[in-house]
Amino acid sequence: MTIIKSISLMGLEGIIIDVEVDVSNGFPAWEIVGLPDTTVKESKERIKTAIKNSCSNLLSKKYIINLSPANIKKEGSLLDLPIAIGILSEIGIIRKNRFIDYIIVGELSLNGNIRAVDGILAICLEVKKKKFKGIIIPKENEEEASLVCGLEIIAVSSINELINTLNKEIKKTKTRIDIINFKKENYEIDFSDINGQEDAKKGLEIAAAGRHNSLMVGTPGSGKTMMAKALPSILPRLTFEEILEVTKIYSIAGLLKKENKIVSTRPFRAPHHTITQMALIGGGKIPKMGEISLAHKGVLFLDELTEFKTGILELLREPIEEKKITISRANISLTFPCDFMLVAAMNPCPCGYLGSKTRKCTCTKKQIETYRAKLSGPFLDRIDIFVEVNSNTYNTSKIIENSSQISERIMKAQIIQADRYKKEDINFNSELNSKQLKRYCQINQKSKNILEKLLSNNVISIRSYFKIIKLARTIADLSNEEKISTEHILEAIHYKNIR
Amino acid sequence: MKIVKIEINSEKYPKNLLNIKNPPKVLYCVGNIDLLYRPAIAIIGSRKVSDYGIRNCENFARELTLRGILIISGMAIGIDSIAHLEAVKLNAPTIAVLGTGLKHIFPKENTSLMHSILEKNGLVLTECEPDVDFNSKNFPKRNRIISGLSLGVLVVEAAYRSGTSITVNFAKKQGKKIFALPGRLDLKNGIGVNRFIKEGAQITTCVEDIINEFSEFKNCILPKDKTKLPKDKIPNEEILSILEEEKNLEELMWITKKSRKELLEILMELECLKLIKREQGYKRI
Repeated sequence: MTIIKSISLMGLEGIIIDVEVDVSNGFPAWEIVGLPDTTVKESKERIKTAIKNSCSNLLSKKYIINLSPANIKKEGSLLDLPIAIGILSEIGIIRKNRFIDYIIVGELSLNGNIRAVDGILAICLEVKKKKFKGIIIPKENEEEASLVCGLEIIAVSSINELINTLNKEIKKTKTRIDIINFKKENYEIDFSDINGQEDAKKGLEIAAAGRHNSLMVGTPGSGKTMMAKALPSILPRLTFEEILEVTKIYSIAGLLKKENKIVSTRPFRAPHHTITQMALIGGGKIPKMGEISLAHKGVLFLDELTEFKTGILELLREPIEEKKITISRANISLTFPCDFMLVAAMNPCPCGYLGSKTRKCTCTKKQIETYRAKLSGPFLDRIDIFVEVNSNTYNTSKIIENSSQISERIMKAQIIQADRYKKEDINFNSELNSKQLKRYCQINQKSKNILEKLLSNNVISIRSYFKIIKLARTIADLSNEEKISTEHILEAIHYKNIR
Repeated sequence: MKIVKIEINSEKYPKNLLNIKNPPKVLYCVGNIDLLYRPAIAIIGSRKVSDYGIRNCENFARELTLRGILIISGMAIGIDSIAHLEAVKLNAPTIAVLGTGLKHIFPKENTSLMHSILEKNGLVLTECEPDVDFNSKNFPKRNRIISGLSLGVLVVEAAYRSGTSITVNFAKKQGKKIFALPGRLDLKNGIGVNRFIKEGAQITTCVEDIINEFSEFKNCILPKDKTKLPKDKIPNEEILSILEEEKNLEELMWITKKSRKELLEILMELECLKLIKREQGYKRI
């Protein structure tokens, strides 16, 4: 009997699987036991044919394959290769005990080639964590796996190549991926392509700097979607740790592109408003990640916010606060990360033309109220910035900045924040709680007077009061000032919804 | 909630109502009945109000109440509710005349308003039996009680044909004085009031226009501690006049050539004074 180590992913966690293969004389049979799902059961045909086309015909014998632990459902085609290796070593084509410290994963094609599998990055990280010596993976996955340092990676493209490697000397492949190369960023729309909209641009800049959730309101055709599309171009670059984290998620979701094996730009997810609960949050019998997790470390853009079903928007409440989501099903409960910045867009009224100069709004007051009531209080509560996007707009300043200039300013502001909160477990102004707010966001007497005047006149609520201070902190950081001045407070009042 | 029934031949029946055509046979009242014998002004107007109407209704109701003048209205949504609410805010009593039975408040959302009217020692009355539910026929009829109980009727906003014009017609027949605020020419709600003015209603620009008409209100003067709103000291008339039409910040910067900071400060102050509001951009109320 031969035992090969492989791995199966449950969410982001890896579970080591022992593939036990036994070939004996007896009535010819082929059994895979240990809760295999359909893809694993079907693997026997792939394995038989691949071995036949690579080295030798399999004799009619009794083949028993056990996947242990036997109580966990195994899924995915990555168990093809370990089973094949087990058989090859059992029938004496591969020397035994060559691969004790190695994890083996890979899918087989009928001609003996080894195909790429999903989630390699996560697998490699888990393998490293579990202190194995190395991992044997498909050649196509090599670049992705090379992000993990300190792990022996053997990338092979076919069964024959693997037999040769294992029978001679195990040679680890040396590919170092050039991350700088991947950082070549190419955005659809640059901020300098947008005429006017300085007010809205500034709003988004503040949002990006302090990671404030924001809502854009504007008439149809005023440029909300365009602004949102330009947003990724001003977001700061991903750090190496973030690249690992995001690539891991995309790799598990099977969303890595052939030509681009590493996610090096911030994710920007814009699901359509007909999205279902599970697709947004994640779910399924064995839970899969939803859009909120795919937007991890990036932006989740919800266009036509009021058209989403109310229930769906409410689901976002906890993930926004917790920055992770736990999905519990009968068999299993999995936790996925979802640290995203929410950007939403909507019209000011059902017909869309409230406040427009070109067309008259035809909605009644009641209609507008019902329309706005679609967004619940607790949901709006999680939104810090309200940006007006207007179709009648002017270039008030002479210089139009491009995205990289803005991005640089945002990066600086984020460094300032990270530096300020190094003793706390937060990174951004938007995460400040009331205690931290008092400690880090002192405002001067004049600002205090202004806010209290607004408060006593019922123009703002007490909650808005604190949000305005948070926003003002970000605005001050953007202009690289240590103290929050009255100007910053006034600016923050402008971006806070007072409705 | 104790309902008091006052019949037409009772001593308690208000004299004002005896003088009108087709007086209600019986009044069902809740609250402070003494209010029935006090001189009062009715404030009436449209259910769909403009911001202009809201602002002026609030001002006039406040000024009248501060002078101790009782306000009567119909507790409908719109102008009626605003007038009642202003009195309630100032802890003053007010009279609401309903078009439904006392067990069926209409509109439902005004139930809490009714409770606060009663809390402030106000009065809610109707000629309908307590069990009578909403019936659109009853509403024009209740308007004759509103005008009948009051010395004069102040019209804030009204469309060309509306419930308000029914009340005004009753008031005319009952020989009551009609006051009308000048309506905006460009609003549907301005057409009705301006027509009343053309037909002889007294054009009204300040509360004194109303008070000076009646000897009953001779002693009604503003208490010294309640100073008037600094009406003639509106900050930044210039920007306010620009904001007659909704403008966003960029447009304002373009028009006024002022800096962002300056404008934000001015706008914040105007907002505190509730002279402007924010919808899509900034707009004068």
